[in-house]
Amino acid sequence: MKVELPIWKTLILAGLPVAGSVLLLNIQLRVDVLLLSIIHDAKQVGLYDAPLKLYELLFVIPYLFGGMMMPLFMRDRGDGSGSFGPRLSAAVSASVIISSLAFAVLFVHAESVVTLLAGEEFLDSATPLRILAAAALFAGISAILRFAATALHQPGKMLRVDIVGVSAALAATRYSFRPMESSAPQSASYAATS
Amino acid sequence: MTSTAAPHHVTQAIHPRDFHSVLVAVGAGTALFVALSLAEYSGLHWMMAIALCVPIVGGVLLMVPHVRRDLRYLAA
Repeated sequence: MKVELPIWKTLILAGLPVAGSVLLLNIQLRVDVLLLSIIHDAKQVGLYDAPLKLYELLFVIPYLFGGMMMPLFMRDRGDGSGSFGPRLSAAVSASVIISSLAFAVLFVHAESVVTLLAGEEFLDSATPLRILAAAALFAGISAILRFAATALHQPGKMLRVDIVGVSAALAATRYSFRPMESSAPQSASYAATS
Repeated sequence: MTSTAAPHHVTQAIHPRDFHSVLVAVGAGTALFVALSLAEYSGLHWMMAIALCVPIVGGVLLMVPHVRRDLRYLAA
């Protein structure tokens, strides 16, 4: 048994775009909390972070589903039966339908879900949860397409799309979060009253 | 150039039937939204409402031919 360096080199080079894509995906998932922690106080971050945990759980489901579909995508592409397109369409359809049902549940009962998971102190997290539930719908589609791109041997394109996605997420997050109002006047007024 | 080429390629790649699933999803989501809202309005506990409404909407979804065809693709 010996290490076949040429094989390892081929595998590592082939896997680099996929690794980069996964890295960028994690950055995309975390960058909003990081920027929020810079711009707002810890309470706001906590209110946002609680529904984000549920969003991450929701995101895992289509990601696992896409992983389960991956061998079928590869088989379709290999045998040339032309069933890759319909199967991909069916997988995206299933993800969209399940995500829309989850969105409906979380939209109507956001307060109850947040209270159950985190307590009544996190009741203000209901609105972020509604927004994140809508975002999970699109994240589910992207998770399926991510595996389809890998099956089509297009990890380079996937990486480029992820770079654009992270850049857009960074820009959108930076410009959508309003800077925290200066706490100095509040502190001054609090000190004056007390 | 990219801006003019992209819509052309997208319309070539996407068939109108691909939007059926989106319409089904929107319909199912709206139906569940209405059902849960009505259940909440009638005073039903939210967990009970979910336990009742989700299987009903899911069952109706399984009767849609387009969804059944998609399920066959997922299982094969």
